[in-house]
Amino acid sequence: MIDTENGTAATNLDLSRRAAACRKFRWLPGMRAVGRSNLPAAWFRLEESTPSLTGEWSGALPDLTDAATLGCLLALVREAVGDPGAAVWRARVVVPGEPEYWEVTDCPAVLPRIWYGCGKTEGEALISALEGASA
Amino acid sequence: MIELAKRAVACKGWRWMPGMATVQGERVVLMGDDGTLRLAAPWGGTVGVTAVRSFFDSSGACLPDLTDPATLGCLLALVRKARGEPQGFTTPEKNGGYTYYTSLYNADWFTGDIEPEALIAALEAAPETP
Repeated sequence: MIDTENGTAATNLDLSRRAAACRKFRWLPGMRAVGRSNLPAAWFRLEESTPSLTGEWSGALPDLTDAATLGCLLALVREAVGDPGAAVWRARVVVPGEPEYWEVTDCPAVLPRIWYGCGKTEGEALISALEGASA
Repeated sequence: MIELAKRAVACKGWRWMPGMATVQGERVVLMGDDGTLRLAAPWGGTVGVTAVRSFFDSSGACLPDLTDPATLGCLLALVRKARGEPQGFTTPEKNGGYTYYTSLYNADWFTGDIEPEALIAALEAAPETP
């Protein structure tokens, strides 16, 4: 659990770790980093003047519940797969009780699609695509 | 792009969000309880916060940078919230331009020459209460 500007939100630390471990991952201005040494709930908003995290922030992870961070992650995926039009979209009509399913592809409205990644959440699908491009 | 940014801030569903960038290159770091934005200048500062501007800047000097990935992520979140469509997404079209889709299984969509234009069209058409 982490603190956000608007209260407390749950985040998937494992997913955040997967994102940070990708070779094609890098911090972009606007992203929200969570986890300072000895202060796991502390957070930091990346700015233009601080393009990387060092020292006690070096182990911080991206907050995948944050809209700005997800926007940056999509930009990283587009760059990594070499497709500026890659889109992340929910690929199934969700029936109550069933998990969501998201995909990252090229233009979803046109078949056949080029597939880049998938997951049960938007963030997981983006990380899946980033991992694929980092392999 | 400036005209698009003005259209964005004129929308009822618009609000500044942490992580957004302004056209002046500043970054929204915090939203103050008093309705102010705490902005970090691109050259940094002692604590990273060098300016505070009014949330409702009547001069129009505070406009979002619609080329910034974090700002676009926030804009998508605003559109989803304003329209009550948590699965909305944008995609380029094969014949040019961008489309915001409510979902791939719904006939509702909004187009624009560039990605933020499609998002702003969707935000402008958002109902008063999603």
